[in-house]
Amino acid sequence: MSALTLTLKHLPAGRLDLSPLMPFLASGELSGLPALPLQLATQKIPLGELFEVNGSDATQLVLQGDLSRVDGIGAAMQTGSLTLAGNAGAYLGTGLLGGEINVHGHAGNFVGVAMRKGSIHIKGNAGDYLGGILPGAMQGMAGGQIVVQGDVGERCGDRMRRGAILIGGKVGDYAGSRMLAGTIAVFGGAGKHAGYGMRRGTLMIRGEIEIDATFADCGEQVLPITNLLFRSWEKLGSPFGDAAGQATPVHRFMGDRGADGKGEILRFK
Amino acid sequence: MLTLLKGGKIVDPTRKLSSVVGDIYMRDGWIVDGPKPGERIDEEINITGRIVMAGAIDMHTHIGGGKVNIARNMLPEDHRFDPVHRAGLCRSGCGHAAPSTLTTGYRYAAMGYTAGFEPAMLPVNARQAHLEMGDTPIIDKGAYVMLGSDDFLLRLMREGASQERINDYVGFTIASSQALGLKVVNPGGISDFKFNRRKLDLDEEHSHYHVTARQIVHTLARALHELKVPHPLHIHASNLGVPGNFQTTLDTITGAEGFPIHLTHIQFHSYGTEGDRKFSSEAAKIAEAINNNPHVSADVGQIMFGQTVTCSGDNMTQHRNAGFGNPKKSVIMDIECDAGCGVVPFKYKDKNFVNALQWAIGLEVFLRVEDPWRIFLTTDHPNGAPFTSYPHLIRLLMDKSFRNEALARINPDAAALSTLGSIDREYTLDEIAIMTRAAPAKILGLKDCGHLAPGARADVVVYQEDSDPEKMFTAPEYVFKNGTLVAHSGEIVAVTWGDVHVVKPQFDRSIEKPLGDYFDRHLTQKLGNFKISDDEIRDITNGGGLRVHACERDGRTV
Repeated sequence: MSALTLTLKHLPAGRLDLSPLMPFLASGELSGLPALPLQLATQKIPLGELFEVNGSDATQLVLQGDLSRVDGIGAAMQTGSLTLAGNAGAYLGTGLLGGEINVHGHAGNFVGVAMRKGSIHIKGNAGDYLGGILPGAMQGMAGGQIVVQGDVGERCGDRMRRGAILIGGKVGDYAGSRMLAGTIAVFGGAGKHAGYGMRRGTLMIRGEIEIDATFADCGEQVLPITNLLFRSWEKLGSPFGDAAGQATPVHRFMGDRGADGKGEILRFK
Repeated sequence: MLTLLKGGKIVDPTRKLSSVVGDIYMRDGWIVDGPKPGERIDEEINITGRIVMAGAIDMHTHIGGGKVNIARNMLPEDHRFDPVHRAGLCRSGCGHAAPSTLTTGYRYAAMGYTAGFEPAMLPVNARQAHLEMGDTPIIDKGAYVMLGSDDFLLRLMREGASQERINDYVGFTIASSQALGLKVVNPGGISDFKFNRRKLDLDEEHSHYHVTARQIVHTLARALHELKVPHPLHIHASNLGVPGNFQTTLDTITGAEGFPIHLTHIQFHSYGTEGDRKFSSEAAKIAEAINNNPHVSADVGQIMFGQTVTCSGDNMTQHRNAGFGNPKKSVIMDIECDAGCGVVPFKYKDKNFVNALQWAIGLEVFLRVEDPWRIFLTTDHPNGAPFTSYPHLIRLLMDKSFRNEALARINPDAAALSTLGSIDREYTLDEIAIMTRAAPAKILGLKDCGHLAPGARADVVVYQEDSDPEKMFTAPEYVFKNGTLVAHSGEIVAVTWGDVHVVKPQFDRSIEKPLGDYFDRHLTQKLGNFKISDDEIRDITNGGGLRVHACERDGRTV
């Protein structure tokens, strides 16, 4: 069986919501796929009018074309793999329950919000609220792993509850804001107000950053846990595995004392 | 414009018609005898073999007022899985447990409901409630205004004011808030909560005003009787949800001393303390009491499994339940020192012992109350379940084997404690028509609703008969509201705006003198601004009318 491939033929003006795709594929019946109604701006359009459908193995889904105006790609996916040759729109991997998503281009805002399991790998950049919350929700990402090799926007990991976010480039302002738990590691520096309102969790940042006044300086330390983390990231290649196998001292700040104050920012070189 | 519905099987309990084949003529929004001599029939719809009923009436559904708006704001996670896109004539909104006003109207109409009544309108919040209901399309609306924990009434009672004075106050409140009836919620309890009381029994004295819940119920039930308001006192009794509260409910029935009363969401008030877990069903005793007291009616407030949100004026109960909220959040608030409200999201689970037993208790009450004219089909939307679950509930009542299959799936300990499996009763189509149409219209005093006799409003629903009642009641083939075809097989084909139903009891206007002083001293608005005029109601109903019902009571006397 060849991989199920959807190639974007054309996309009229407006944003397309592709979130019904994965639940539909999970039902196992492929014959109705071209007729699957999708919301494009204010109207419903069958999937077959926008995409050319080839192949039959839905566990290895491939999406081709520039999907930067397509939202909700891989939403609620449970298993298998999803590969995007180009860019993805907003809400990539929303509520992901398993499987892996690989994006060769860039992704929009709200990547992996409310995801619980599985992994997302983005070669390019990603927008704001990565691993964050769906609007109004109490908890953001609650498990799994997101790896972004490029840069990420603001409010990364907002209200994140569990799991890991690894960022090769730099991250915008308010990284790890209102974090409840989990790990965010940034290898290219961060914007202002990192860890704003974080209650628990770990925010690792390479390079010089401004630390807010509500964080307590705990001095430079060598923590065995960081060595274990770096080693586990070695297979992801540079820069994630750069520090593997060597003692890396970290400068530890506890906070945000304006919230629960049990979180930490670990700054390293 | 004269429309003929030809050859349908008419189910109209008010006229004792049980699937009688006949024709229905509708002219300009009303049902009429037939064409005048020489009059042409403009439209003829052949409905041979279909069931025809009057539009259904939901006599207890939270569709307006501050608490519903709080529930809407609180539940983005519930709306997310039921987005309502703009489609055809319908505007966008959100759905499930606390739908937007627009979605509420569309969904009710598509299901064959043509009227819904908001049971807990706070006097001080009446304008907001009417604005929300005015924004609810297609269906008719109305509200019961809430008294019983408000300072002015409790002061009057403490001072030993005469019943006439209290009647004036009740009459003033109903008239100036444009209500159809009067509700009392946890009599005195909402107020006593603010004096740090967490439980108030029927015969316990309020810690500040020293009046008992029993006195409040009796006083208000008598006031309505003397004002001749058609709908009897709508009582949300004390101790909602507390195991052993069936005794409170029975005492409330006796406490009314023969004045007609309506007990709302009775399922939540039928709990015993038997068994290992000190939680059991006393539905049989409650049903027996209703059967033996012809002045008592009740709606059930059935729970259905799944996510919903509970919104109530009963802050005492909601404060107690806040810890059980799912998702974990709640709002408990005071409203202008005159009332309260509590909103707690809830997820009823079939494997949970308590929830499963609540489900069974509700069905037991339905099946054990013999007179369908005095028991009403509600889920206390959204407290027990969203109103969209009514077709499923109807099937549970009409289909014993379906019910027993569902019983086999719930928590086995709860199933073992319930006598539901031994009840053979199946509701007939006629009985469903009574409890969802004829009886609510009768108990609310809506003379031109709930039946299909000439002179009635042309609210007509045509169902394709089906062996599965759930399918039949989900999407009726034709729904007419005031003679306009509004829904066809579940799809909205016209958006109209329903009327507001009110009563205007007679009272002595001199009550406005002390009330005016009271408003000036204690409340946040002037008496003149508090009153809602007829014109204001007409303005906010988007073209719907104001229908004033006569204040007269039928034979139901003391």
